[in-house]
Amino acid sequence: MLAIYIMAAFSCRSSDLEDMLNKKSGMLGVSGFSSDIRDITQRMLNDKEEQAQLAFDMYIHRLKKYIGSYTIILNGIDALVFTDDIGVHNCFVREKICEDMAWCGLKLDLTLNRQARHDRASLVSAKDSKIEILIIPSQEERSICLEGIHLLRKNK
Amino acid sequence: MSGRNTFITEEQMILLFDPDQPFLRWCKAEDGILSENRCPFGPRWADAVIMDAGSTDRIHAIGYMLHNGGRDITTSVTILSQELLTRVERCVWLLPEHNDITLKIAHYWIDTLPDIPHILFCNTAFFTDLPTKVSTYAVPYELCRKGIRRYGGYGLIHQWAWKKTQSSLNDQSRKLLSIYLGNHTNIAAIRNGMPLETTLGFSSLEGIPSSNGCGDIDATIIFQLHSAGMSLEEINRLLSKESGFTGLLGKKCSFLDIARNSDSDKTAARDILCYTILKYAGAFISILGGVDSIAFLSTHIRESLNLISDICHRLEFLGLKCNAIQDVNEDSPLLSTTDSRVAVYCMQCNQWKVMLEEAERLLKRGV
Repeated sequence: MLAIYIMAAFSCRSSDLEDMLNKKSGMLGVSGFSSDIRDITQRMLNDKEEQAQLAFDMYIHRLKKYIGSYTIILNGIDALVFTDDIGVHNCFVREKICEDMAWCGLKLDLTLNRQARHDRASLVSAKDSKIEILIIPSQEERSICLEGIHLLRKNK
Repeated sequence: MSGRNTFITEEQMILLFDPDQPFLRWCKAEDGILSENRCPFGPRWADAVIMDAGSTDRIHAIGYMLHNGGRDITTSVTILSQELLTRVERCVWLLPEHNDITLKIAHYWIDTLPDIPHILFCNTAFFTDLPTKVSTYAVPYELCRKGIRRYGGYGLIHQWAWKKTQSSLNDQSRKLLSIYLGNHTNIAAIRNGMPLETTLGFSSLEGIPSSNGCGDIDATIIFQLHSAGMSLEEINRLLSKESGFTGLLGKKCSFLDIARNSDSDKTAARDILCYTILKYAGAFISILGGVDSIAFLSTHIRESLNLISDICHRLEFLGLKCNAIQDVNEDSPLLSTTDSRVAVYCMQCNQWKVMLEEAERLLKRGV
């Protein structure tokens, strides 16, 4: 197990390593400057920074792997939904994820993807895509509130 | 392996070694006939080998398997020179219990028989070409520079599968999923002969659960166990020797037990194995951008056919269609139908055979 080898090989304390894996790894560990995909995308595109590119590539690679895994587990998918901050605001991430995904029927409309608004749900798949690709902004607070009201009404 | 390609005379033999802690396994190849043996790796290991070989005079060449060659060993099969031996020494820390045995036996035989060719096989060499985004762990970058990265494994067998599908089977595919089924089931994604992904990581503990190893787990578990009072050695033993399917079932459980599926208590283990294989198959097909061929490789291919059939059934939505498993044998390894969008092969493979083929090719080229 990697963690054990790191501790044994570099005689590193368990608490130090736990801290390293929790707080200094991930996108921050690889890029060396930020855990925020916005900073990383920017430094990669504008400054052609190698570590930023690596962090970005690793991020996209992992996402593509999980989409592939769950597509097989679900026996094919009907829709792919992008949500939350990165999913809604980062059209470049969406574009890269959907590249070369015809094998499972996914095809992104590049123009619709770039023009998608941040404040409402939009359909961004190409007309000949077998699977719908959607962007749905999340409203977590609203959902919590509605669930709360629903629960209170039921208990009346 | 037939004798027709062999240039080695009848009296000569090739010895092949593979450390399998606490054992040393070896195989002697005489006139194309392989016979396997093993002994505990203790002070008298050399006596056991010499007794099996008959006489050291007949040994024509010796091969050694190195399971993790790190960044230092980048060729799968090479003549073991003194310079290469010092590089092997630098790799011992990566997989101490196996690599140390390889180093010790190589030293012994080079001292004993300095005039014959010694050959190093490295199971991670094929994966030194993994894309950086795949070999890198998302840990602070100074750790990557110290050698903490994914090295993969079983490279010789996956390379063999690629060559086999390309040459003998006359398959023009570019995107291959190579699935090794055994006690250490693992998968490689290969595009145009280059490795794009592997389920194995820094060690072979990462990936699909094995008969004794845990496979992918959350690293936090290690810290939880450690703060609960277990030592690093105990955790290492727990996760690499007492986990996997043996740990799940609470009794010894090999790949064959699962593949045969004779008792219903193995169903849970079989479900987990199938699920993990499918998850990785999906992930790797996504990375390859589709798949042309899937090669299932096993030393127990006949016993694995039911399992393979179950896996293929779950991939039908990709346009994969299979014949009845009864139609598959060593001479016709194609399981898929002619109109299947993905070719599926079931290949009997034997690590010793692959090592011998490679050794003979290298020796024939001239040393």
